[in-house]
Amino acid sequence: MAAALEAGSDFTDRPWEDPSAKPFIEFQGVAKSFDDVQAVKGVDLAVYKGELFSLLGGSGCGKTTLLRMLAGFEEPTEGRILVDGEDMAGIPPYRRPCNMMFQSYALFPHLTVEQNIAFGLKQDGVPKAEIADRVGQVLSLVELEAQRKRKPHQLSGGQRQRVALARAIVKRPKVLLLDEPLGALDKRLREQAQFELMKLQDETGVTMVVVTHDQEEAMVLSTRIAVMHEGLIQQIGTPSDIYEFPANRFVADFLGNITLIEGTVTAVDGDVVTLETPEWGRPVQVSDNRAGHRPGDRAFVAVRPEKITISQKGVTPNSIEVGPVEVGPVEADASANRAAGVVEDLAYLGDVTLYRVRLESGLIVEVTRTNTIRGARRSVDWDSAVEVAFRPDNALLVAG
Amino acid sequence: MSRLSFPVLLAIGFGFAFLYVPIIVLVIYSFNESKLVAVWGGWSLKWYGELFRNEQVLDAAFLSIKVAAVSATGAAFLGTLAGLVLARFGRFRGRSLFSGLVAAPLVMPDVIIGLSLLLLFVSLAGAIGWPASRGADTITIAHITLTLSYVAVIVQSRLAGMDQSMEEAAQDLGCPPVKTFWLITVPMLAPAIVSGWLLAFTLSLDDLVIASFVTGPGATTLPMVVFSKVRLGVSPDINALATIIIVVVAVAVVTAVLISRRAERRSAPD
Amino acid sequence: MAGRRRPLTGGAGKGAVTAIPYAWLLLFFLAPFAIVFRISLSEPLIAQPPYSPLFGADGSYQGSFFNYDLVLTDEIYRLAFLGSLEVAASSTLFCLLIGFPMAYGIARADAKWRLVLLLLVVLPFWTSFLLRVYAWIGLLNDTGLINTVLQDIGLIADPIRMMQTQFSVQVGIVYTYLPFMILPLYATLERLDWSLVEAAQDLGCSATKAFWKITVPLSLPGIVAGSMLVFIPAMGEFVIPALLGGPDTLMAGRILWDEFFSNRDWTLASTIAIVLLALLVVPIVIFQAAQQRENR
Repeated sequence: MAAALEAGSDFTDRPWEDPSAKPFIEFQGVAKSFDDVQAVKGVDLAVYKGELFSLLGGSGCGKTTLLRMLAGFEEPTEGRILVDGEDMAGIPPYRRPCNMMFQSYALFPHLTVEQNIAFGLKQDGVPKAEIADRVGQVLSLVELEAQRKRKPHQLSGGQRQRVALARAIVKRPKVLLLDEPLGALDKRLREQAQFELMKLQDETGVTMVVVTHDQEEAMVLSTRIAVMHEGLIQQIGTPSDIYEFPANRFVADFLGNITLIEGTVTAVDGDVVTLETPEWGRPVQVSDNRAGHRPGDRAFVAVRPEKITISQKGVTPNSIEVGPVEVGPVEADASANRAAGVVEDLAYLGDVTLYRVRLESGLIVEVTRTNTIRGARRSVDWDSAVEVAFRPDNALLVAG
Repeated sequence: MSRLSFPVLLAIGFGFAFLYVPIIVLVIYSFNESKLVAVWGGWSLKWYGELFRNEQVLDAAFLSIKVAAVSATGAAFLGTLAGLVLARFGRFRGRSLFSGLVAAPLVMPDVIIGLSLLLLFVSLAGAIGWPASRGADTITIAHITLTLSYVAVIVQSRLAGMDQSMEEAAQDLGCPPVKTFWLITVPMLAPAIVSGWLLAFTLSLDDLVIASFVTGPGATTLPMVVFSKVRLGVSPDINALATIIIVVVAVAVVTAVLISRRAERRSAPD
Repeated sequence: MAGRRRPLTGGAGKGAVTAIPYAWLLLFFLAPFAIVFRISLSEPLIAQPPYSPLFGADGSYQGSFFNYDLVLTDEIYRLAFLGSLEVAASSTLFCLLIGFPMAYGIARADAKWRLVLLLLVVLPFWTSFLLRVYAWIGLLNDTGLINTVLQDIGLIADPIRMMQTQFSVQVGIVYTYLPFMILPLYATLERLDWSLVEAAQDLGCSATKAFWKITVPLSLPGIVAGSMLVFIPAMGEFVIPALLGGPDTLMAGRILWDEFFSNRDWTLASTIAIVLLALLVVPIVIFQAAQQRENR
């Protein structure tokens, strides 16, 4: 992939690209059934030391089951899980080198902040003086020294989240598991907590596995993301890999907005694939043939809204009275895929405006345009006849 | 209470009057000098004096409290186990029979429980020689059987409302299962176990029918004494006894509520 | 996420924790019913124990349905069961009529009042049941408070006979079991989403109609649970008819007691218990089904 080339031979930031690196956590053909329901259907996964790895998916996709198997609350029906080379089969949760931060935080209501954090160290028989020391350290790390004597119900949501985090890291686990770590926080606290988590990762270097349904959270936090659906991993990759090079239709659709155009491959010329598509109205060219499509294959052209341009029909872009920013290289590019349509709906979102353009076939194309000029008059409005265009190298082909 | 319409307020008023007028009348008449209900003979504490001189009543009260304390403790133990099984052990063979056995005493008429337990004790005595005689022990066993269900229901509902990830968190932090039960589950269950114990104590103290069936010569509980007295009509020293019980209960309940409220207020987030 | 969790204790510990209460209930709750049933098939004897053996000396089966014949054909037992049914059903209805507005009012009251009102409902339950029933004797007697007051203010000349009637028994049952009706009703009403009622009114329902079309159907689980909690024990009630009823107030619990304690007929008492149990099976099943639906 393109990203790999840029990284060169230095793998310290990207151990997963180093063929000689040893995975720290390994799932080998792991499956899990509950009665008749298969929650996880055969997962192979390798997480490297120091990663902040996210399992991303909707509810019921199997991501939480995967995490709970790693923590030891469920035993896999098939396959094995290794942590630091050690097979975890049969090892109960209280003897695993993992600590978990629960979605509900699960703070013990009858213990103080301090006692909650010290709980795990006491179980290991750590000497009292050392317990006090280490509890003090993590308390200052999460900035809760003033609240050390409080009970959980006397804390705010953000403070509780930090106690839960402190309790999980104080044992210096090999792996820190986080189940929807920011799910219970409101939007502003969430952003702050995201950065705190990343800072913590930097400072401690602990390997983290995060379960989340929030794509934004996964994108911001993770070194890599595994997108899960119906008990299977759909794609593993860095946030930009997953966004820019989705492996299939599900991943493309799950992360952000995307327009999918169904078509039949008519010609393949090196990297450039030409498709016949009634939805677009005329042949579409895409410079992406990772999947090795052949003429006759059905496939979807996938384009992100920010990679499509919109302009008023019959007016050359240069004559639209909005200024030069609107004239991108796409309009001038002769190879761009173009189609005519009508603006059916538009939404002003502040930083960008989202247009929904209906083509003659009925296909809705989503286009965003950055609002770079304050108070600029909208040149394209409801019911405007427009032309949408995208360059072949800004689109992808994904399987159905 | 602005949201409540007049008819609803009237209904609440009537309901509480219905609940409390008989109790208030009973309390007032315990201070009546006269033996006749219809006649007010002036304020007096004479029936209280008479009550405390009545050895039969005092002995019975002592026996009742002893039986209630022992059976409530037994019921709290067995009921907590039963509640734990129902709330946390998932499915196992015989679970539906077990949950039926736990729920049935809650609604079973006490004449049936009393009769069946007596016949069991008689059959056991015939077959294995135990229990050799009936009395406080058999009443205690009967009361444990009756009240363990109440404890089980309270504990079960508390556990159901309790986040199971608490126990998982403890194990995740290195605490083995049995230790988790004592360090995490029991403290969190404590209020439920205490209220279960109190309920079992009250039910045992209050039971006439089952105790009458399973008792033997010599073991007379307070309800039996009360019943034999009031069967013949109004008896003012029983009014005095009722007043004492009512005052003790009211003070205990109100204190408990005030304490828990103050604890709540003190621990309220600031 | 839902799913079966790893058991929190090991298999052996789990087995022991289950076995202790299970064994207790099997021995002291289930086994006695088998004995009751077995004795109901015997005939009374003047002996120790006072019933005929189920198997003769030669091992032949000697059980009979003699007692069941008696209970089902003799007028007095039939009247007792019908009396129980009638009193229990009517008392349940009265409990519902008094309890529903109370539960509704408490559920809709301000939060700070709610706890106090609820406490006032529960408080009598913690005091002696026997003494609360007894309190009504002083009120309902011919020379009791109600008659005295009514006579004093000149409303009536002669006392109204209230004690030792079906009325006094109903009052006693409604009085003692009212909290059992209110609490489950309150539990469902408190959880009820009142915006549903507002939505119904917004869509053109009158307040009364919204009550019948929304509030009542949604509180049905509470109504069922509360009604069963009153009806089932009322069917077997002994203390209330014994203290407040007259000699002609026949109820199943009371004749069971009398057969056992006065007539010393264990077999007939056992038969009455079995028949009563058979009558209660349907409401008990309804109650348990309602409970399980509630728990889910």
